[in-house]
Amino acid sequence: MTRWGMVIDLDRCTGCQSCVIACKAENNIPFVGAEQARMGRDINWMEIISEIHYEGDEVKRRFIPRPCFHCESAPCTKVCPVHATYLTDDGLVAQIFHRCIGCRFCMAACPYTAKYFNWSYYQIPDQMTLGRNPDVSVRPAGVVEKCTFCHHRQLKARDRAAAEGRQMMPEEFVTACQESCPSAAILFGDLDDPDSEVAKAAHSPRAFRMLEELGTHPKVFYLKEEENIDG
Amino acid sequence: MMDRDILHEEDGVLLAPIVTTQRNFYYTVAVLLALVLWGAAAYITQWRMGLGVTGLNQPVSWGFYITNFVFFIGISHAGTLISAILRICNAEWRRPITRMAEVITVMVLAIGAANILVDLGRPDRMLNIIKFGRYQSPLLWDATSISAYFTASTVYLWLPMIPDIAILRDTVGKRMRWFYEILALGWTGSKRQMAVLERGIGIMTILVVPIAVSVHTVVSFVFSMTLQPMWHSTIFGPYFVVGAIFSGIAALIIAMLIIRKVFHLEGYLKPVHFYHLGTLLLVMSLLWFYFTFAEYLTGFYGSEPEEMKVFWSKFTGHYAPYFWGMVVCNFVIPLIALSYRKNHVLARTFIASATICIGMWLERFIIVVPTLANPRLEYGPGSYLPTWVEWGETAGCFGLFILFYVLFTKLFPIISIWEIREGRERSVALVVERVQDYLPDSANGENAADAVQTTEQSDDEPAHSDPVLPEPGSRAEKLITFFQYFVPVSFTFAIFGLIYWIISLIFLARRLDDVPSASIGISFVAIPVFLTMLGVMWYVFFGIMRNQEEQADPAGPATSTEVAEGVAR
Amino acid sequence: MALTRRRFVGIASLTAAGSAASVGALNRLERVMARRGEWYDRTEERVPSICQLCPGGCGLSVRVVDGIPVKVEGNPIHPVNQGRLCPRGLAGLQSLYDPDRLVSPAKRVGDRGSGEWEKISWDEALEILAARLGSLRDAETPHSLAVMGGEYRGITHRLWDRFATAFGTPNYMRMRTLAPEKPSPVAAMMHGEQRPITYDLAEASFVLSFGCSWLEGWRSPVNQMMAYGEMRAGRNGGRAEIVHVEPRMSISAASADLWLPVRPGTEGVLALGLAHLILRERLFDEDFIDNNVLGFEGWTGSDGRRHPGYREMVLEEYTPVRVSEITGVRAETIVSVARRFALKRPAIALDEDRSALHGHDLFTRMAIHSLNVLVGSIGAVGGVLPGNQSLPLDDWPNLELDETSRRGLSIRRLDGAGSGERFLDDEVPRGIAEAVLDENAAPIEVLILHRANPLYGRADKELFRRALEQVPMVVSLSTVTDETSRYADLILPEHHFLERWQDDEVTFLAGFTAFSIGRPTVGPLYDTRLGGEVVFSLARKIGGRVAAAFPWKSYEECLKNTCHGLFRSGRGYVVSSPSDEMLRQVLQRQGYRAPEFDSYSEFWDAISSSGAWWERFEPYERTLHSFNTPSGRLELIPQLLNRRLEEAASQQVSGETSVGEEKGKLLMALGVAPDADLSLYPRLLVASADATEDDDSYPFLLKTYELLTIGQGIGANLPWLQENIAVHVDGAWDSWVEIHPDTAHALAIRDGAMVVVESAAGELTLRARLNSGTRPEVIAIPVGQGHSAGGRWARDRGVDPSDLVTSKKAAGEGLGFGEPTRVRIRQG
Repeated sequence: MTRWGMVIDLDRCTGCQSCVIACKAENNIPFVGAEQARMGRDINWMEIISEIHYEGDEVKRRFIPRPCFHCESAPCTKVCPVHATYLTDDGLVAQIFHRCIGCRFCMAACPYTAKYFNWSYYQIPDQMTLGRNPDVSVRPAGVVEKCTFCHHRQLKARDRAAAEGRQMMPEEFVTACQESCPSAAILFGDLDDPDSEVAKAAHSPRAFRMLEELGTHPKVFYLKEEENIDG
Repeated sequence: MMDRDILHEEDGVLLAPIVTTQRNFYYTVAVLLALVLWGAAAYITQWRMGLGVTGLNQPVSWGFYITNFVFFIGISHAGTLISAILRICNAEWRRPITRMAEVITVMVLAIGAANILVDLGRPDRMLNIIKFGRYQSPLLWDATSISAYFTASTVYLWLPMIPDIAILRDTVGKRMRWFYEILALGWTGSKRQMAVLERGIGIMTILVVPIAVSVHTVVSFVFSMTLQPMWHSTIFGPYFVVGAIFSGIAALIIAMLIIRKVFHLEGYLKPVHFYHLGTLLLVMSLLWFYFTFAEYLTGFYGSEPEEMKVFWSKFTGHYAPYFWGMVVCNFVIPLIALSYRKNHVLARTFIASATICIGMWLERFIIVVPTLANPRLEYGPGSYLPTWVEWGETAGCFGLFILFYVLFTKLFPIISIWEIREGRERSVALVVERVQDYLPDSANGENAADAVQTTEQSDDEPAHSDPVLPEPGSRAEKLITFFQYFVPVSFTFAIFGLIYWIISLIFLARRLDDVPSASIGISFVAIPVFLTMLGVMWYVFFGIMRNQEEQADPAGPATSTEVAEGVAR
Repeated sequence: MALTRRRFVGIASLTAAGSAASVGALNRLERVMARRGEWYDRTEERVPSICQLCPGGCGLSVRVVDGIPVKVEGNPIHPVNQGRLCPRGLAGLQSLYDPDRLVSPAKRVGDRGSGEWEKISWDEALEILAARLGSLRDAETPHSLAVMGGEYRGITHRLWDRFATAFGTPNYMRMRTLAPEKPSPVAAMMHGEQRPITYDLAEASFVLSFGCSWLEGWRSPVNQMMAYGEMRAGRNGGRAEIVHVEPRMSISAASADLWLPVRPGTEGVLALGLAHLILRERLFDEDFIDNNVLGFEGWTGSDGRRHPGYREMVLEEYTPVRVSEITGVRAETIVSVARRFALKRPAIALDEDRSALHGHDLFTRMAIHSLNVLVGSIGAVGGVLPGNQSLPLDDWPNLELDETSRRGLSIRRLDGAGSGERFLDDEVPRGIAEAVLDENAAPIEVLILHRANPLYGRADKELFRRALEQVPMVVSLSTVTDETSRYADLILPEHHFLERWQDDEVTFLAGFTAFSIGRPTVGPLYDTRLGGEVVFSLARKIGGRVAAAFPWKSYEECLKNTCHGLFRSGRGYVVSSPSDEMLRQVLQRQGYRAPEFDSYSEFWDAISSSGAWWERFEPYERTLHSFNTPSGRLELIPQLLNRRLEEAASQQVSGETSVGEEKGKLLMALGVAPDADLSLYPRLLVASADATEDDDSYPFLLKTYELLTIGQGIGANLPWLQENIAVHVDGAWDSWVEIHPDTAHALAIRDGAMVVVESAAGELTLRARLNSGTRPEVIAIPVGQGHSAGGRWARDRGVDPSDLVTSKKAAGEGLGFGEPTRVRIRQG
């Protein structure tokens, strides 16, 4: 059984936001406009957290791309009253947009604040609707949405494989963020396949997971920055 | 006309609001309607434009609505629980209080639950909760135990009202009679009916207490089942329950004081009542403080960074005013006001209660928002500024609650007449008897017994003068009988519906192998509870009906034949 | 200016939003929209294209479903970005569907800038223009046509150049801040390079970047970020170390291992401070310097004067303590950085920062570049590589010029580039504006602006506004109504880059050159035309020799002919799958070459469907010992500069002034003490340090910088970018000023409060953002916002910091040189 997971190398990340925009373009994520954004209602399935800290008098800033972590034991799936968000067999935390009743319990429960709510129906000019990705449904107002690990791409790859009468290879399934990342900081693949790149990276000594102590078992790993030996 | 006469009888004043209507009544209703309309307008806007019209945002995705939900459900503990406890321990001073308490519960529960629906982003998909409901989610536990609590307290409100309804049926004029007849189930007040009723009440009294406790525990689970800082706490259950009772009593006291003033019931609600309740309030205030202290101390002592972010935002940060406001309202003021009550009992208890109501609302707010506003990861703090919509909804809720209450006082006596009478007639003796049980045996024990004897009333004599029952066989009578049956039957369907739903959900939970404790435990408890309620309902219903028939058949024709014979002679 | 109803109507009718009424333009769009509802089998294809949102030259692979582009992605086999892409490129799709695009030609009916327009047909529009141009030639004044080009790439430049020549005007110039295919002045002086030197970042072990935002806005960001990834991956050379020197913590600084917040304008001093240690500890690459470098040691000039050499001068002037005082960088830091830089080879010192460092940018940059020389990185793998050879493109048929043209071309260019103070520049856009406003200069009758927008984001935009009002006829060829188009008499809407054939030459990246081809991904959505083809039809309408200069029917044909050279040259390959590339490299190393295509048409099909042709260079192929300098060696103290100075001076010389005096003036213009000879570094830079002493009236230094998202405003009308405009502050849909917390505290400014930033040039009100990633005396404002036109999302949003810029520097203005701007802040 494949277990999809992601490894993000913080040492490589430059905080360029390619992943963010690639995600928006791939998943028909609406822009909410200035006022809404000022209210903090912008939707970023992939978001770059930028944190600043001090080493002595030296200022350091680091960028942390944050998709949905697709936790093994996901706090959000437990609390959903209508089974609109749940864990699939291959370990994705799925979100059923057309079943969600918009109680936002999952948002309150997610320790990573990785879930987003469609506060209003976000209208875009007609011309722009042309540019929508036909593979991804457009969410109505009043439902929760989040990163799906580009699930539609997986389906597509699987169908293609089926059509060609073969098994789907994990390499066929790449997420939009991984694809676009200029510094190749994002790896994606099957964590259960021991000789997949992502599995190896996930076992590297630099690997850690966000808020591991909560026992949510995220399937997104981070590789911490390295220090130069003589630096 | 006889409507008016009754006012001059004993306890007539209790019926006054029903029989007569002051101009103030209309004013009040008008004002409340205005509030409700504001709420309605707000909700319609929200329905059409989506939740975007509120101040909610990322990460503060819960705000006023959830706060109101918790607050109102909390208030609901005023009634049923208090009155149940007082009943159980035979506190004789309860008699004028119980009903106005129970009413609060029923009204407020409905409103509290409604707030969840208002909070939904897609109210049109509300029924998905029934279709795809999942017992893993604390929201479902809420649904279950709130519905249990709601039914229970409705029954528990209705049962003790039957005799009073009968009184109304017999006294109030034609216009409303049908209504009272349906609800009175042909109550004649015979000893037998009394016995049935009291047993029914007795069972409910016991049943209600655990349900009430469960409700607010489960409400607290909505928060404590998540991993969020300052939510994920083991004492949230009891903490919420205590808070609930605390705010409940406060609300009750306010209601009592207002009613006392408006309906001139000084004769019934005496300072002593407030003194007692005040004492209770003081105790709860201390208890509340203890829980708050324990809750925050543990958080502070552990001082996880995320926990502390929330902690400081409450103590010194953006939410400090609300937090300290809460402490002052819930602890400082009540402590001062209630600890010395030699004079101005009413004023002091009122002040205390008022501040507590505010304070407890703040407490709920302080629990919901700061945690969400300080996410674990470095997003920077969120902010929350409610818009007119949220204010409107909130105002509407309060308006609706008071409106219901006012209308209730218009339809039913807000103080249980029969219990008052019963008290007058029997409680002294009963108390004497009870006290004598504790006392070491003495020579003149019999006298006490005599005393009891004398107050014994004869079996077949009805509770009060003339039970006005519809003529047997008349269309009116049939119709009414139909409705009388209709009530329990529909109730039965409702209960079985609920049970069916619960069972199907349990199966779903097993299929999805959800957390078993959650899915099985809570729901399993619910089923017997519902069944018991159903049992009580039927027992009381048929108890009273059968008695009525027995009385009607022999008495009616018999007398007529006697007359006939007399004529013949 | 207030938006009156009439003007609004005018503007609206020009943009797609308003054109819903005008059926003609939207027909196609509507048809497409209608078809989307139906049920049918989806056809999906990937069309190669080129990103035009910056000169980086990334290859795009556009996902086209049923003939409609639905996603822009990187072209996986394109050598520049290998499938990667930056946020701006990814948002490019939104610019295609931008509802505020120009949808048809229009003629001005109201006053200049009033923005009242009347729709006209293309023929009509071209007629008007051609007639006017024809009259210029009849009047024998072809030189009074000026063509100003913007940020377009590829052969379009050659087309305009050819047009200008054929027409007979010397006044064709480009207005752009990014011209990566031009050599940096430093390279030109010290190496004598004609083409830009390249930096082999991916292989470097140490990168010391002086304010060069190489991860955001320099050359080809995506390519550099890929290199960054390589450097971090701990490849066989080990993990490369990155040190960034800049007063503000840019993204590049944040990504570096060490950020040195240097006092603004003292970068050069720091560089020489590092040089001092390298020299003192003899860590420099001696044999490289002995064999290839001139000016290291002192020498005696022809005039018998003793010139101190680089070594001598640096050793005596730049002791760490002193440098530390001037730059504000701790002495021990300087020492350790210097040592690591010298020992961790190959090391690169990046000097090519586009933002003005200080009055003497040229010498600052020379000082920085001298570090590369010291550690012998020049020409080394992972170091600084000489310019790539140019692409084997076909030349076009020779131009026969008629008499008119010849006379026109003989007249001196209006912007005075290459002479006087501007002896370093080859084009100075502002020069045109000055010329127009100057009565006794030859007048400009017609000004054609192709994607040039001088009225936005330039310190001299007011100058241009006045100039535009003087010019009798202004024509704007653009895709959106930008600030300048509003002053145009004639608006010619251009295809969006996803709608047209494109081409781009990438010669400024290490290790390879590439020629990219982009096919149209979708037919034109509106009544627009391709810029290049507008030139053709214009030429045809003018007729005569001008028409003859353009024998091609279409841009595509022209492109096809031009690329023929790539095929004939027998060099390079059409990009293809990685495995093929691998095989080829192996063969190439062994000196074999597998001919791929029998005919040119095959070649063309291949290149236009795969997206690019490219040629790899193995670093070791480079020959080092030929520098195109007077001495044939790498000159630390460039004689070329001296020569250029003297030429320029001698031109200036008039009766009473001597060459020496004139030379002095020019040196002043370059920020150098007039007495300085050309062993320039010392006095000059040290002296400069005093200039950054706090000045009471304007205590702060303004640092404007470019965001990777909206860049210099090109992304301002793309909602996705506006909403995720930056990561280091929360500034969505707005602009802000970054202030150091201490400074802010002193001024009692809270985060998010509105403040007024004021300079001698003007004042702006904007939101304050406290950010400890900057020096206390420096405040930073991003460019790109503050448009007064250019679409609903760009318009009236944020501020344009160029309103504050005070630099009036002429010398090297075209190279991005300029003085820093001093400002003060108060609460708004």
